[in-house]
Amino acid sequence: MIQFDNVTATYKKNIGIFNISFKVNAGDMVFIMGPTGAGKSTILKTIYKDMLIDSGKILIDSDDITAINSSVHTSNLRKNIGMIFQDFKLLENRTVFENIALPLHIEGYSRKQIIQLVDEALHKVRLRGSEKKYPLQLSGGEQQRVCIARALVKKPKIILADEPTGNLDPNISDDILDLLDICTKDGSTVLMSTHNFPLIKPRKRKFIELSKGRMV
Amino acid sequence: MLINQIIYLLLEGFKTIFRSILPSFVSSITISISLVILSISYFFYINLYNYTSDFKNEYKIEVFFNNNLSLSEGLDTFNKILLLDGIEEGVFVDKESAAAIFKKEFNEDINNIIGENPLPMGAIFGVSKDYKSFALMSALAKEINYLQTVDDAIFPEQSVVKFDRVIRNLLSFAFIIGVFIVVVAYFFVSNTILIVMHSKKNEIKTMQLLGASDIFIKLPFIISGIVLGTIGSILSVLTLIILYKISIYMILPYYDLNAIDFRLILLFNFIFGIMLGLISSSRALTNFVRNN
Repeated sequence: MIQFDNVTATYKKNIGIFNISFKVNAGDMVFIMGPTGAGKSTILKTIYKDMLIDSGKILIDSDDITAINSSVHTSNLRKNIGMIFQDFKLLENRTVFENIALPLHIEGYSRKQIIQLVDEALHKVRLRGSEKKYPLQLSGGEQQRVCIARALVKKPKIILADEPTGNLDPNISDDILDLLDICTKDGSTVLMSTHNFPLIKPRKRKFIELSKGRMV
Repeated sequence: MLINQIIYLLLEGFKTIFRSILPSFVSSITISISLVILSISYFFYINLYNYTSDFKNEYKIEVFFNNNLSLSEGLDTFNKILLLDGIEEGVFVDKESAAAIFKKEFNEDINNIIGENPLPMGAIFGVSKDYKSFALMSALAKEINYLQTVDDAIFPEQSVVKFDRVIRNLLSFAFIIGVFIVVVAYFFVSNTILIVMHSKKNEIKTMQLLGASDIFIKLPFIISGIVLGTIGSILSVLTLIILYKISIYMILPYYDLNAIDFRLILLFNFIFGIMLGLISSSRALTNFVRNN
């Protein structure tokens, strides 16, 4: 599903990821572990093309995404990826419903389809009844659940979660991981970065450990 | 699918205005004020231009023939001059008519003063519209003076020069004011939209990450620019209608304003307002994309 083949991607001052190679199969949930600055987010950024790589190859379903160099193709790639962020990146001036519906609007779904799909997503993240609320009216955990609903509403093949539990209490963090687990049961491949090893340890899932941009 | 996106983007265009109501309101007011000033400038420009045309109808070249010409030679000369390029019309003045003019202007009969009529035959020529400038009238007077049967051809040179200069300055001033206002409105509106876009920088970034294409992100801002332009033009049209109604009572009794097709000005306002909104938002987007 996702394959990194000797990928190097650097920022200035020689910071980044170096010679990273791994493979994630379809339907897997894989954690990317490491301390702050290890390169966890960089790996995710290279997948959704928010950062270009210096060398190597990234394959998604055998397609070499490193060859993508136009904004149109980048948009199309991102349409197939659900993204979850540590800071949620919810649009504060839009309701929960509007936030979750946004990826569907981008893809041109009809109003009827959007209502149905958003309702399903809200049900999965247990936020039915909050659709008319604005993000700032919700707790951190609820906001992250909205973010997850937004990621899974279009039933993406891949879900990338960048420190989704970074700002949350431990019990809420577990709840978020349960939700991501549900996503894999629906057929999505989940790649999640975290520095919280105790959180993921009981999950018994594959993980990639990074240190200073290199695989350990 | 495309229709769903278009409907969504149209609605987003309107919502963008309501999400940043104050900058949007200021932009619309700016567009409307500039359109009103522009329309009034244009109105005065046209009136001034037409007024000067009326005044320039008084531009005449006075020609005095040689004193020893017979009546038929005088008429020949008159006809020759009539055929020159730039001469539109002419009135032949024979010796008796010249004496009558003298009497009318000085209230004295020249025959009684001198005992005979020494006044030469002559003519007064009106020049065509394109020739009503100092340079061309001078050239025409010079050409007439070359005729052997002509003693002198004159026109009020200093008045023409001064009037031409004043009118040129006024028209240039009105034009510069108009251009200045358009440029100020353009930059003001586009910068306002740019500020709105910068305030939505994170929102735009999030949309990009969710797979929104450039056009999907840009279109609501372009639509909101067009809507702001439309609102601005509607406000300016309403203001102009009110001003027009007031002017009927305040100006028309004293000065007969040239009839400009008012509907044309309203149409101009409408189209120009929309164009201003569209071009300004496009500039804002170009700047935003360049800097981000």
